[in-house]
Amino acid sequence: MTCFDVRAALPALVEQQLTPEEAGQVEKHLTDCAACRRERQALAHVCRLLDQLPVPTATVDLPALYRRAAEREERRALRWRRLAVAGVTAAAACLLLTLGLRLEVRVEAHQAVVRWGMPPDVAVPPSPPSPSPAAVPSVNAEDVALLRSLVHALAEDVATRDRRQHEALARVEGDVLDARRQADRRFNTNERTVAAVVTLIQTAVAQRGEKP
Amino acid sequence: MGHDTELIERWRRGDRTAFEELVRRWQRPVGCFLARLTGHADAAGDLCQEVFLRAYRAGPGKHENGSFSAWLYRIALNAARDAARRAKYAPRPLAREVPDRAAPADAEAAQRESVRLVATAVAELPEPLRVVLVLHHYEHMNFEAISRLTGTPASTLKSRFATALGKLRDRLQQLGLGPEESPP
Repeated sequence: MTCFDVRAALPALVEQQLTPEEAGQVEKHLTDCAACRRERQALAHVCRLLDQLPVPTATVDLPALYRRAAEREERRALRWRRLAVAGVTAAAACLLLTLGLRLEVRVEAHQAVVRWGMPPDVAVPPSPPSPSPAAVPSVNAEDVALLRSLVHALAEDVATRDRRQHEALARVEGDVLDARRQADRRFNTNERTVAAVVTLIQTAVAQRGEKP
Repeated sequence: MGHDTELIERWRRGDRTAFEELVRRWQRPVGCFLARLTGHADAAGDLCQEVFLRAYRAGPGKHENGSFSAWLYRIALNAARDAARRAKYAPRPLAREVPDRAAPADAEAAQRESVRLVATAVAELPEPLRVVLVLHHYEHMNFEAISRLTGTPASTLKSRFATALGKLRDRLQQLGLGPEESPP
């Protein structure tokens, strides 16, 4: 093995991740190479220093976790509700614009045309009456019914989402309530234990005081 | 691992105590990982809380087919990265000058100072190096497992680990924590 190979294998050697054969080959090189030996010593020293670091402890506060989950769920529900209201409002505004201003948007060759109000009067030369009158583009009852059903569907969707969010919120609130009850029970048990210990200590002190 | 699967199944069926059991089981390893990754022991508690909150909100159905611990460590890594982005728990770099090693009066104070310097030297490492160092050295994960967790090739992680040890060796030497000179 060359020094280059050994240097690449040293981190695994100090972490004891090499197979016995690999470790044997590296060790064989180390007996003859002082520079690689120094490098191994330095890396092993780093690992020893890393192992000196204390093991920190962390405890999860479950009641606080449930409480925060409920808060976030509520915020999420509120955000959805706002979004839904904004969407329905925008849709209604578009509808009003289209119907009220008789807005007309169309794309023709290389240009977009936006027009509102009544179409301009164009002098049309009198023509002989045709057997079938040309269809005049207008908003008829079917279109209005379609738009109405669209708005209803949107409103229904909002209501469904709202209901689901409320159900999820109720579940989380139930969890919070359970956790609070558990915490209360534990607190009461601890209080009783502490009271018993205090009583025992007081009894022991009193008995010691009676003795000469 | 088997026990985790059983607990997740119970949690999926709506048994909240199973989730609490998972929290009790994993809060210590996840807390250690976060403390070492961020270099802030006091931040580990907050971040650990955030990790289990995210896991609770995601629900038992969200964790992939892999192990629960890998999923949890991924959440922890993301939470730590989010916190670092918000610069709330950005590692505090040490002063560049070499401290006076003769200053601590007794052995205990010297040990405390050494621990502080090592912890901050680790926190000074760039985040990709710190992640692989903590997961490989402290959490004893092999490079393939870390690769699945971070999405980085195992060969890259291996090289990063070697770089991290090299950087620590240089920095600790600079701080007066190098190995004692061996006799000739």
